Amino acid sequence: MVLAAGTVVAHEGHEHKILGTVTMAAADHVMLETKEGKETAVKVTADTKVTKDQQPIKIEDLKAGTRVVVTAVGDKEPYTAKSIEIGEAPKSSKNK
Amino acid sequence: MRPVRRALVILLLILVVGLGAVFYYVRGRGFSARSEPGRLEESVARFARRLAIPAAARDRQNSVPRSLEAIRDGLEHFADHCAICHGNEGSGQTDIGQGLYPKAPDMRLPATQELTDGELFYLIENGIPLTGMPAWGTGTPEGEEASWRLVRFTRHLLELSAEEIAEMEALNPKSPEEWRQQMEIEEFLRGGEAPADPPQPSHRHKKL
Repeated sequence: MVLAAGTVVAHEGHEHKILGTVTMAAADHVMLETKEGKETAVKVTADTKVTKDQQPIKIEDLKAGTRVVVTAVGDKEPYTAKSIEIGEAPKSSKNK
Repeated sequence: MRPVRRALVILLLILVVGLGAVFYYVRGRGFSARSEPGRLEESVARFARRLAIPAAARDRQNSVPRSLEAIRDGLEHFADHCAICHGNEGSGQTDIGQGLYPKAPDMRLPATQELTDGELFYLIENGIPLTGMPAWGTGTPEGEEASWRLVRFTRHLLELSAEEIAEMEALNPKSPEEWRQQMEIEEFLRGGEAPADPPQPSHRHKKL
């Protein structure tokens, strides 16, 4: 899957948050797009926890246009998603 | 006198060899909390810790009966005071926990779970010298009861649910900046206006 993310803050092995809108989702990765239009890929593993309203859901249920907050780890892109918290589609048409 | 002199020479030799070994060990490892204690060091430290806990303390029984309330109190206390190093789930996988020497242990593993209730209580109350574990004891009955509840919660770590971890995340201490970040994230997930910049950690890291 592909998530659109904003400026990414690297923590060199530490966790960091990526806020973005899903542009594409697959079993092993997500693509995101940020408000600034940057695209980034996030790897999804068997250990990645995907939740909505604190309830676990399947990565396959993640739809393009959905906002997500990814807790990611890794030194460089593509980061690995430790968890993906799913929100709503953006209210503004700017954030697709 | 000759046997005494010989014994002294042998002792001196042992001392010199020992100091040399320590010097070689320290120089080889460098001076960094990033490294892990060697097996020998860990074994000696665990042995010394066990030796240092009085038998009477080791055999003490938990004065707080097992109950949902006790576990709940322990959970809240742990989330507020302990999770910053140990992690809510007790894994030790936190920035601080992994930066300590020795690193914060995974409390769900036998090395912790096989300690007696009395030993866990003693370690909470008195801390562990030369590690990141502080002494939490206040010398008051209320403080002791809180520590015994933490012992109850330590046993509960093995069956901690996802819902309980989510509760703990809400209870973890946060700086004003972290509260602001959380509010931004919640607004973002609700579909509101995205922040100009994503929430960033309060500590400094380089930007890519």
